[in-house]
Amino acid sequence: MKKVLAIILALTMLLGVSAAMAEEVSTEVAELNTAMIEAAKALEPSENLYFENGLEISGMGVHFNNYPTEFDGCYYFLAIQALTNATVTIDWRVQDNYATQMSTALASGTLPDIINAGDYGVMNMVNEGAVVALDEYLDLIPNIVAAVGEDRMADWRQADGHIYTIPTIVNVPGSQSVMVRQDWLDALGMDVPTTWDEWVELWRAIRDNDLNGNGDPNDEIPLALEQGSTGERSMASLLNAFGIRASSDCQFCVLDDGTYTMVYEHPRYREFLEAVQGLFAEGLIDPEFATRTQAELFTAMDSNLVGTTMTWAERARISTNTNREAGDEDALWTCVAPIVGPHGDQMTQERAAVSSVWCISADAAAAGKVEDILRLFNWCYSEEGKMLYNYGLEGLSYDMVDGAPVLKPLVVANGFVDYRSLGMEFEPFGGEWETDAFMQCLFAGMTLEDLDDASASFYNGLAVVNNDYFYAMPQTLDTDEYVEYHAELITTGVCVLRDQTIAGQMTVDEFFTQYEGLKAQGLQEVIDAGTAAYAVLSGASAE
Amino acid sequence: MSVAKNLQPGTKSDSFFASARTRKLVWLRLYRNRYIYLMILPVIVYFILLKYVPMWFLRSAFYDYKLRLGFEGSEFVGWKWFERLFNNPNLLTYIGNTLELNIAALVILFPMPVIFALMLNEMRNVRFMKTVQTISYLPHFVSTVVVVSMITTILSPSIGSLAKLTKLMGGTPVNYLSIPEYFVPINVISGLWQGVGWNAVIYVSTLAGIDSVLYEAAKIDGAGRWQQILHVSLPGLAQTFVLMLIMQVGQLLNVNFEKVYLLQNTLNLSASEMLPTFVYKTGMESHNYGYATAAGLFNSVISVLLVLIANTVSNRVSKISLF
Amino acid sequence: MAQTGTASVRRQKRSGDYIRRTRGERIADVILNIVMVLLLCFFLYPLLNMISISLSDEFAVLRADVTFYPIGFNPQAYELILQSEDLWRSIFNSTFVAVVGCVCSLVGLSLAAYPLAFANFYGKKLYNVLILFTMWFQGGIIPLFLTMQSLGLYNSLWSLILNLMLSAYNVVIVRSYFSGLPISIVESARIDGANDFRILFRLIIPLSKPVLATVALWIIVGHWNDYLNPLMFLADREKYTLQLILKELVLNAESSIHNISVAQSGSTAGAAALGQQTRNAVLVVAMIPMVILYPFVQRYFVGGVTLGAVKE
Repeated sequence: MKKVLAIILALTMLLGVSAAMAEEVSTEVAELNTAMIEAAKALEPSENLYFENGLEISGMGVHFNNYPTEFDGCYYFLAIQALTNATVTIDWRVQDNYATQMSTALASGTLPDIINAGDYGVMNMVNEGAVVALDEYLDLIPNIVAAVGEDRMADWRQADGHIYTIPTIVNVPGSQSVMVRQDWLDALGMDVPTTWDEWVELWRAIRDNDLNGNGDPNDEIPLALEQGSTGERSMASLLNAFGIRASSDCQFCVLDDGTYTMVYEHPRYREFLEAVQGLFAEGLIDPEFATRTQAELFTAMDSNLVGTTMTWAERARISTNTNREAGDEDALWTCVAPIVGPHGDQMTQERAAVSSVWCISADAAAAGKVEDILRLFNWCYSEEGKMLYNYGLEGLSYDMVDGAPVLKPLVVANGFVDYRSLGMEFEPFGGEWETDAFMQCLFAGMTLEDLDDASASFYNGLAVVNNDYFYAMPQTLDTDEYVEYHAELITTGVCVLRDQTIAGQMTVDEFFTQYEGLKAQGLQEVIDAGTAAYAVLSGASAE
Repeated sequence: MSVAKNLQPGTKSDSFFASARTRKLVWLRLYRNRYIYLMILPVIVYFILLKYVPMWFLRSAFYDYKLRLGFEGSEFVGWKWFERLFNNPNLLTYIGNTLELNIAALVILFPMPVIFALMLNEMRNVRFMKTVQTISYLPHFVSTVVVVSMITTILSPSIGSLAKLTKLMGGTPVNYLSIPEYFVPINVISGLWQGVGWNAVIYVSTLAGIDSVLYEAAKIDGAGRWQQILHVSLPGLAQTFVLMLIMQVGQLLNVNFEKVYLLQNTLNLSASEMLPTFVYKTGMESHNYGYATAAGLFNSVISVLLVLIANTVSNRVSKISLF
Repeated sequence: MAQTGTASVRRQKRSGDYIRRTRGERIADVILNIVMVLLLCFFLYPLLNMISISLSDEFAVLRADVTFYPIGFNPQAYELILQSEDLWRSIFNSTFVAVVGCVCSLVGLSLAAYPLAFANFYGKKLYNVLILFTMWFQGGIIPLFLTMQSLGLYNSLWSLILNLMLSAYNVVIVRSYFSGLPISIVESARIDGANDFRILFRLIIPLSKPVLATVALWIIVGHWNDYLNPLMFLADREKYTLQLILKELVLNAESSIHNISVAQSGSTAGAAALGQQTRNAVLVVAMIPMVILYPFVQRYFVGGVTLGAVKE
């Protein structure tokens, strides 16, 4: 009896599921993909680079998002092969547990030619002796050097001052923004705040009113900010409001005199901590701030609970649409300029445009392949390579209009989705993504006037409201000392103290006393190493 | 314990071998067992190849181990990693947290499957009993990541169902996950959901194996249901329970790593940092394999010691032993 | 086996003596049933919630409104899963590993447990400790990977089969059951001149269906749910097991919400809920075969799996 039931249950589930499959995927895009693959195979050899004897490059990398996974299912690699006679075969791995997968690859003794260090960290690869430094090869890759640009060289270098990676470059304006619920502002009869006192006034008003209209005046969260799962990245926009130019993990900053040190060393940090503690006690900061990871933040926004936040500008559009479709028709998230602090500070961190992707392995070096591999990457950053990466194939995915490439309507109709599923801007492999191609996708064939208010808000957050307030800051430098003590003294050390202080479990004075204790345990060494590494880096970039 | 012994037919026997031992020469005993040796050969090969050879890697606890370079290329550092581990001022706190969670689990999570199995055994409606059992075992298939996201959703003071319930009853929602004192209860209750049905399987089938004659005899002696449970069912489970307990004692310093790790946050860390999560953060996150291995080795040695003690105690007290 | 018979007889008898129940017993029965219903809710609610979320309208999911039953109907997560070309191949791979792995394990476990239960040979104690020791000492995943690689099993489904084939815990369980069988069967068979292999395969294994069925369930479930080992040991997509493909689908669905690289499609709200729905749908899909399997195995549980001490 039971068995019969189980089987019937399972069959119903399967049937229901198969019935659900009836809908077909867009065939037009699939046809375009096939056409692009055929066209890519038929391309004539490039005049700029062609390996007469062929070049086989093996690789291991992280695959993410909805890009094609098969080498022969994507025009991009086939085009590279036809144009340059180089065959690139990447062993794509899932992001999950990538560091462990990398560990096994290292332990196995043979490495592919190019490796994306991913979570494993470039410096750890260097310490294993698995990858080669590229400093002496820079004249082989002039296109990449030019693409990075003089003022971003520090972002390209690792903590030891050397260059180890072929970067991927995203030339897109800053992508995070402070945003507020415009409809809540309207309901309160308030304007977008421009001073610290006005911000605090707004938060108090959100706290005291039932703005989401669910009958409970207490569930609105005035200010919700994202926290990283390990306790880093907390309160970035408030740090900025207090004039602290913090790194994206909110652990390091650059002082006015150009010294790189921990945020806790900043002369304003005490004031910041006292203020945030006060805001928390007043109920203006998210009671769940310590567990408010990005996913949790999005959930709270979509659930109509958050009044102001800072997150990906794109979220202004998504959450607006979600709130509206869920029944709150007036909902609108507006991206606004950064929060102004009590001393009038207003700033936000610039998006890190250069990120490390491919290392060249010691095995490739032993096989004498480094130069050829670099030539190929240099070609990828040439005009020819960039067109291929950003726009695909002429006549198929784009047309030349007045001397400029314009992506076909079919490609951008769904924003970035089809663009990527066709293999353009193949980010797991990397390249230089141009602002123009990005904006064509964002606008999906429309102009700014055509955009609805939610998308316009997204655009404002990306490219308008924050423009005057950007400061540049390198990624946190992973010096040996930082790597060794990161967990022991930072994420399970000072971050815990900070949050306990904010939540009122200890006083600001106690915080600093205990922080001094951590410094004695080794945190001072982390700070000193970071300061020294930054001095070397900024010196090297200035040359 | 006599009842438990009687339940194992043939426990006394072995006289066949005992007499053989006295009469036959050593080589004859070896010869007699030639098929036995043939039988254990592949098993030994398997265990050596797949379990013991990898253990040889544990000596990396004494190296500054580099994966790519192997032992030849890595520097021997002696007791360095052990010293670093023992010199950590918080080590005792972490061990204390680990023990606290495990003892709570041992006191609550461990006997629960037994109680659950007894309850199933006492149910008169067989069909209902089987339904309950089938459903109780399903949570085992839900991965820890999902369990954790269920926990955080349910407990969230802003959107969680528990908060909604609290508000309905006029209370103020509490952010349980940010309060250190609630960490162990949250872990144990969710552990109950995940494991009770699955872990009860062995007790359910042990109970079913108890000879009905014993129940009949108890009934004739005038025992009610409660007495039957006390005098027949429980003694029938005793041996299984004790052996499971001995094996479990070996896990006192281990925790469901993934779950603890994912439930941690900066505000509950004073109660939620355990030895395995600490080791993972300090060793594996920075790819310091020597250090991570040293800490793991320390853990294993303690585990084996605990098992040895538990086994000896059990052997003295109840004559039940694992080896 | 006889035990199965006695157990079912006992059940019949005990449910037969309804009339003789005292008042106290009847109250106890009512309480017991109430407790069981409550427990059923405790177990069932999160599962129902999971299925409901996987099938609900995405806005209901986002508002966290979904509880016992689906609100609206949206099978997009299932569409996503079933559109995957790799799905059926991965199901085949997982089934292969689970079935072949199960058979290999049962044979291996029987070979490992028989000498402990029925023989008295030099080195028995050492052999026992050799097996038990591995319960608390392990080499870790990286050395295991290196071992598999040196055996030439990297990127082979056999690495998964071999990896979970024998575990100390399962040996203990099977050995305990064997020890519970009357040793006289073995003794008389030996007198009749049967060798130990013959006794094991012709006599002991047929008598041990209950324990073997239970252990088989554990092993199949173990293989079916295994995620980290396939991730380490397999390289070709053609060899990927179900859990790898499902996890990949979840990651893809989630990355369309938590996308680090700026922007996404026009249909935003749907994408936002997709990750959560997919995660739940994936669980439902992965659970179906186990739900089917369980009732078939469950009847063997009444046969009595015991955990006994080793005999000298």
